[in-house]
Amino acid sequence: MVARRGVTLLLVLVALAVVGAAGVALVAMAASLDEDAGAALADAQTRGAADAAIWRAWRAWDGAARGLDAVDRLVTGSDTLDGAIAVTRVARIAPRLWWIAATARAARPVGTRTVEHGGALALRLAVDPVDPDAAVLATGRVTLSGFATVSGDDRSPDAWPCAAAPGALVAGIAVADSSQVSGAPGRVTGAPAVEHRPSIATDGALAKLLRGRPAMTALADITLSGGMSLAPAPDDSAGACVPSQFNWGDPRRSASGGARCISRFVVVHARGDLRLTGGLGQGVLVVDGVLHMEGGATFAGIVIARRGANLDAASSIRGVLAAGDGSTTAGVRMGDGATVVRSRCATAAAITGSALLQPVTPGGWLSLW
Amino acid sequence: MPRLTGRAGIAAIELVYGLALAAIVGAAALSVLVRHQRAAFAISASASARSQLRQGIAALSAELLAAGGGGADLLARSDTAVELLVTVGIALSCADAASGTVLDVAARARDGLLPAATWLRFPTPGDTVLVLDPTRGEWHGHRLAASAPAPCADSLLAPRRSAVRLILEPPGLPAPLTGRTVVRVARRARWSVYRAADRTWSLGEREETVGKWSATQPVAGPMVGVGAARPSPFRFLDARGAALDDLAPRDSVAAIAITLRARAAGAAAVDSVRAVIAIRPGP
Repeated sequence: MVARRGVTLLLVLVALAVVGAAGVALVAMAASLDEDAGAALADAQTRGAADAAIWRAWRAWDGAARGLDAVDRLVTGSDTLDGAIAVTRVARIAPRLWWIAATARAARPVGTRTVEHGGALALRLAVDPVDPDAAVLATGRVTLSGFATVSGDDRSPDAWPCAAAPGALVAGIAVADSSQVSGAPGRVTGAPAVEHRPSIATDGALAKLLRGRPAMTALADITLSGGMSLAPAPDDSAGACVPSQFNWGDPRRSASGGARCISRFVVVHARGDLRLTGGLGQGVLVVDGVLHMEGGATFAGIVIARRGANLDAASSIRGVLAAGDGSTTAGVRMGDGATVVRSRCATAAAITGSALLQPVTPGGWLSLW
Repeated sequence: MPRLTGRAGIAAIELVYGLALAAIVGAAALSVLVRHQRAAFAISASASARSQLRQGIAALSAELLAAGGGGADLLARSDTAVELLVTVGIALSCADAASGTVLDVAARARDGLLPAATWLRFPTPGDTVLVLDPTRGEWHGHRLAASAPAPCADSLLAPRRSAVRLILEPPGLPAPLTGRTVVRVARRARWSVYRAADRTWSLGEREETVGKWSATQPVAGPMVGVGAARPSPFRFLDARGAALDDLAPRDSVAAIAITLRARAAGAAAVDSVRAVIAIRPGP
């Protein structure tokens, strides 16, 4: 009896072994498919993470921090994204080119393989960088009243993260004919305070700004019709900076009220006269007509007023004010308390933080590996 | 003398029962084994078919991801073929290493402090070399005459001094480049559905080198269409995801939907893989 039961048991054991082997084979196949799927997922995640890291660096771009980057300066950061760790490297590779490269590595290896991808984005400035060689550049008459102040000293706006050391003292006012500067000379500082530059429209910072003007107007993100009056103000009411034609960013870098707009630099093109009745903004302001600033209006960056500028009490510009367009003479009138202070940082930030810095196309975005 | 007849009969019946039971168990085990073998074969065939499809999608995705922004590199399109300017490589030029017909560019992405190169193919004479003019923002096209290894004294890009020297056909660069710029080497390529010698449909690619189209190289297949129709894997979508017709301008193409179908060997069901590849944004 023992031997006969043993035969049946043996048959059952053989059957179980066969079924078990088939099961093991299925499990092995499923594991292989699972590994394939895991590798594909890790591949997609790391590729996406590299792109996302580049995109984040570009979205968080702050012209004030990047504007005065020296060529070859390399800034490295890291980012943890879903399923991957990304390292971002940003470098100014040429005066008008930046390169953002990101390397993303899957948080966990797939089998023994480390999954890693790299990507890059090339950015190009549409205009030449400008180092203002005076606070006020004008082809026509400059008139200062009362306590109007002009300074050729290089001063960054308060709390701006400008990396470079202040530049050398330059002229306060540069004009084609120094005899056309009148009033309050004691409030103008610079080396010299007033500089006589007969070729101002064709040589130096004004000429460079005028050469860049077509690109500035072409890439303007705010275009205003002539004769408008407004008081721009930062708007982050929706929990993020809300772009509009009245939101020109926040040069104060304040902790509240528009703080999310600190990296918003606008390029504004007014097709005629423009009157700022107060408010504040930063970036590039190109006015085809006459610019009127009053009511304590504050602007940081580059101001080009082709037909002239009138700055009334407490109005201020930090950066550079250029009046004239090469073919016509344009004057500047500054009322009691108006201020123009040269700032390399604000000038550089205006072009590198605004729409004047764009991805190279085609081919600016690329997957490296 | 003991009697043996009765016990011998019982043993024969038991033996028959045992054999029948063994046959039933064996048949059941064999049946299970055959079914599992079929299942394993089907799974393997299906995995193989999917792997083929994924391979095709991955290869084309890589080309599209590397292509220029805004559909600029999309030269021609239909539901069965895409012709585009594929990237041979993109790299930064070494500082002050470009003049006339000579242009030195970074050779490897991970050589320097800044990842600055990708080479998907070997540069071949006849390829188009596009050099970015940083001042004007324009790409200047040149024809590649030859390429060779070269040194590159650029601390940011290639501390190991490895570069690719691109020798351009005359007249070469209009002016010496001062500082680095972006260099892109590109080649015309066509991805299409074609019928192989065994009458099956496959996805293949061919490239234009030295002014001639190469033979189509199979990338994925065999593929099937819907019903008996020829496979038509490409759909072109605008920024809102709506399908575009063939006459829509190429800069309106925001994404390409690719659907590849294959039937695993011996299976009735069709497996498919679908991917939507966004085109890099344009200006």
